[in-house]
Amino acid sequence: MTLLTVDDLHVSYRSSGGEVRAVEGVSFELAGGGEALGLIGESGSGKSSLALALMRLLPKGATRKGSARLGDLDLYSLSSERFRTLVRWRELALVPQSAMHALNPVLRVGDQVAERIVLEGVPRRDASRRAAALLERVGLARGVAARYPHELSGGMRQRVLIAMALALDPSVVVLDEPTSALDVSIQAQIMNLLKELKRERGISMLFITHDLALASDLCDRLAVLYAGQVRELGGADEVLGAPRDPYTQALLASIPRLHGKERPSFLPGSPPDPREFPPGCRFEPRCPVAFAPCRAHAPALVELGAGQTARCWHHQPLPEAAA
Amino acid sequence: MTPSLLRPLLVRAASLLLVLVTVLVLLVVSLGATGFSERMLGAVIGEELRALRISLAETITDPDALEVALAARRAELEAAHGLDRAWYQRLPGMVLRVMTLDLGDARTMRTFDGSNRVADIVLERLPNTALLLTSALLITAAIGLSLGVWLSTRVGSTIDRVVSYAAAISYALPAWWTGIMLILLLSFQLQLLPSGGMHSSPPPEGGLARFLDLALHALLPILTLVLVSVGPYVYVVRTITLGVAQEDHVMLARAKGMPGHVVERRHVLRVAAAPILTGLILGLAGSLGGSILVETVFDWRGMGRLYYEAIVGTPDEGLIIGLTFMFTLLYVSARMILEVLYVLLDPRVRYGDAAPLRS
Amino acid sequence: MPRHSVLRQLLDSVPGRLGMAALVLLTLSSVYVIATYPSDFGTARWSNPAVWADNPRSVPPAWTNLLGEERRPVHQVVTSPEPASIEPLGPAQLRTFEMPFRFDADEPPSLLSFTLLEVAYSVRPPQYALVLHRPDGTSVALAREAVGGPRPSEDSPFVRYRETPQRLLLSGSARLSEALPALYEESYGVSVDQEVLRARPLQALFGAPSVSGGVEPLRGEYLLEARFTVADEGDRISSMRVVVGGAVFGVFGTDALGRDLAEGLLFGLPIALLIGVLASTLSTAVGTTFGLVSGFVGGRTDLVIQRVADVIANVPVLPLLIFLVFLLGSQLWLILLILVAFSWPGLTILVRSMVLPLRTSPEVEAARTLGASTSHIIWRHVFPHTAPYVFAQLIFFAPGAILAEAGLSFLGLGDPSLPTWGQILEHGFRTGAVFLGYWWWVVPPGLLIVLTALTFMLLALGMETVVNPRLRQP
Repeated sequence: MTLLTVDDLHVSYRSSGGEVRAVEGVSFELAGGGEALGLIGESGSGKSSLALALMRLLPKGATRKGSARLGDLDLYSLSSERFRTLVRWRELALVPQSAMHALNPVLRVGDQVAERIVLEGVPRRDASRRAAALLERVGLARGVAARYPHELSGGMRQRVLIAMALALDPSVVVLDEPTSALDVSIQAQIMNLLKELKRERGISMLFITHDLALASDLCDRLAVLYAGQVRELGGADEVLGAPRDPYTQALLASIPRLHGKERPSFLPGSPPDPREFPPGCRFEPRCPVAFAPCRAHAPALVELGAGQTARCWHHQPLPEAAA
Repeated sequence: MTPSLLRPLLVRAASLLLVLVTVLVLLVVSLGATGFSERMLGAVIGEELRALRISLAETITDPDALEVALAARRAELEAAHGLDRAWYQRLPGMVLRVMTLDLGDARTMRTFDGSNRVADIVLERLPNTALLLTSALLITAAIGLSLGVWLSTRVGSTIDRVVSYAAAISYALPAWWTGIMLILLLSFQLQLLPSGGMHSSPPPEGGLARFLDLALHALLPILTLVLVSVGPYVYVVRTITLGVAQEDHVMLARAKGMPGHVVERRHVLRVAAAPILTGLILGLAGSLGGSILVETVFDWRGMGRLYYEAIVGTPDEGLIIGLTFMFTLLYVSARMILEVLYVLLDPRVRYGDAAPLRS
Repeated sequence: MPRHSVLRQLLDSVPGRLGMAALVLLTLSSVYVIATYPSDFGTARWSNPAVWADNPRSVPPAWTNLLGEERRPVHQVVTSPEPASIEPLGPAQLRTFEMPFRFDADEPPSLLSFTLLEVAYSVRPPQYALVLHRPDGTSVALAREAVGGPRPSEDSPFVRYRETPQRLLLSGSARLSEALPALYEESYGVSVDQEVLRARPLQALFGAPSVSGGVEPLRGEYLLEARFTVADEGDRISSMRVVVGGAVFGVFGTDALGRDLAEGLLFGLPIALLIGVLASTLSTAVGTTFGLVSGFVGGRTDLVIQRVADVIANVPVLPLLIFLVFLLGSQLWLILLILVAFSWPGLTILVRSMVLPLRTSPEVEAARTLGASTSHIIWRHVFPHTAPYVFAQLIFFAPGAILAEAGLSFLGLGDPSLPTWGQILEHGFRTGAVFLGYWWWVVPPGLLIVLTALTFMLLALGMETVVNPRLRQP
């Protein structure tokens, strides 16, 4: 049962050097009841803009096009006040990127979790109790609710942020690189916590990361983003087991393996300037298997069966002009 | 107050006490090393001996015996004042004398009821200076906060640019010259306000009338102090608030669906409060110096005007030392009040042992 | 951040450009002043009353004539270094010097004086007569004098007026009050009230009888003629000048001592810049050095520096500055030194906080592994990261120092050998210029202080986006 539908989403910013096209025509669906979709991309691929666009938190001066539906709510046609009361945190919660700065430094963390519950009309005392229970659920000791953020470690803060996201039992949680600032051991603990929550509470997740391996651990489906576009979208097993897009292949090849003979191969070059994309395929300048049509013509995202799609001239009929 | 609040406060208090002591030592060392204190004490002794000579002359008629008696008294007095020892040996005594404002008599200055003790004169002027400074500080804080916060939501707009320039001009204005310009414009050209002094002469009868008269006279000096300090403060508030408003936790509060005014108050202003307060503390130092000059310009009978009078004409060391110390004391006390507020506002200072966030 | 890009960003912003333009202008003017003014300007010229004796006191600038209805006389000094004609009289000579000037004001000049510079003669002292030729063809004999005679035991040639020029105040001379009634009687056939001529001789000298029976201004070209009779053609008469005292003066007017405010104000410019640049450079250097050392070396050094910085940062500067300058004397270098001593801690605390995380940065670790010396690491790998902030502080300190010195000067604690804007204002304030409404004396010096301080403030404003990248607009 599809819960979240994003259709042809565009986000662009104005800058002194021209228009920055951060997200261009991204579409995906997310099923309710605990599906996790991984959005994978390097920095600058547009994945964070995507999260902000979903929460309607894009900065002033950003332009957004396209549509997003959550259940029977059209996210972009709601008034901002109705979006705030109906969608934010009730339906759509966010675990932000930087645990270091995402908490208010002068409020006790318990109050920060409870404040949104109070907004729903719950008495303060009950809200605090619920906040304490949530903090306990994510593995924090009882006294933590009365602490200030600077007294907590990075991992503890990230747990607070997760507890906060659960405050109103949302149907979808957007996780924006929730573990990128943490040590590997803490990272594993947080990932386990997320898996538990997903299973136990049936919360659907949009997991945004640059780490393909991390995403494969949690997600049912994966979408690989590059230069503002989806390169490949499909079930996690298909995308990881049989990647069809050269960019996904390159990403996979760059992951070091514990057992295995191949040495990781790193992708040369850097992503294109978002103010001036190449006219053809955006991955063409770095692509190891690029051929003539790639330079001049942009490939479309095409279905390759079993719900897997990819954006590559190797998997679709060549344009007539090139043929 | 819980112990966790007390500890950082004690640290700050100790640090400020150290400031006070350092200033004191600096005062007396420079006085001693330049021979100033010697001359001061010499003058005190000379004064006493002159009085003694007159009273002794009535009983002792032999001039030689009189000289002997006076010389004995002189030696006695010099020992009592420590003039027989080197200046650095007198340091502790001097520090104590300065701290208790036991600085003898002023040369020409008198209090309004005629006392010429330095302590009396300085303490009489203290409330007048405090009146100017606190009024100016409160007005500056009120304008700075409201305008600064409002501007932080309009960064890059025309009004923001205008205020930026105005702030730069405000900082570049010398307080005393601004005062002179206001006198030229508002007192002489437009004849709206009195150009100086604290009361009309004769002062009006009745408590309320007297107060209004005082307020009228205080208007220009306060306006001057506000004009030169409000610009930079608005700018500081704007920049700090803007910085906080761009932090991630504010974005998260919005994502949570907190209403705009709650985000503004609880997640922006509440966090910005401590560094904004620091800006006010730093501005206070400027106002304190500014008050010396502004009181001079407006003939406001406070410590600053007294300072000026003690320097020009016949320099009066006792007054100068007493006033320098009082200014430091005033500043340190004001700092302490603000430190208490700071500790109450920012839990990071309260619990952490790290230095408070200073912008 | 490389230095040239800091400059580029500075010039990219409007306030940065404005500040830079103003700084260039101020610097060029300073260079002009330094090049043209004598090095002992303060003591030998500004504070020397003899230099200003001929100037009118407390008069507004000449351009104020354009504002009001009334035209007041402009101050004029006419010099004549060469005789206009030489007539031989046997072995003697008659040398005539001409000093023309124009008078077209509504009120008479405030004074008329004649000054004779160095004269040398071999035998007999030269004699001279001064005659004023008026626009309507009439003339008045104003003086008849002889150069001072030889003293016993003095040898020829006799030199006079070398050190102190001979100055005749023509407007107050007895001869004038005698000559005026005669002039009015003979030339116009009217007898004017003796009292008017006596009380206001200059009004009569620069006037003519009016229809109503009084005296009205006589406007036009005047010529003061000085006729010297010298006994020997080898006798030397170097130069002379006539001063027609005005009621308005120059571009900036004069103060109560008759000093040309324009000269003093211009001289104040390099001083103000010097104070600003020197104080900010020194305190920035000290502050940065302590901050780098404190943050990088750590340990006891760090502790001591931080304690000291904390104490000094909390001292109210101006009262102490006043006290110390009062006690130690008001030489400019001392004022600068005290300013620096109290202003470094802020930067030290800031730089230290920036250095701390850098201490363990990969860049520094790498340099250390390669065996670089501590000073090399600090200079090449730590300092560059703090450079934009240090640069911003460098700019920011300058106006503070300029204002502090001006404040001290205003309290009468300025360096007396170097006239500054603050001192000019102090003099004006102390002598009541504010209450007498002598705005030309108190407005310009303050305005110049503001403009100079503002120049640095604009530069600091231009630096804002360099120091605080978050303020950069997307």
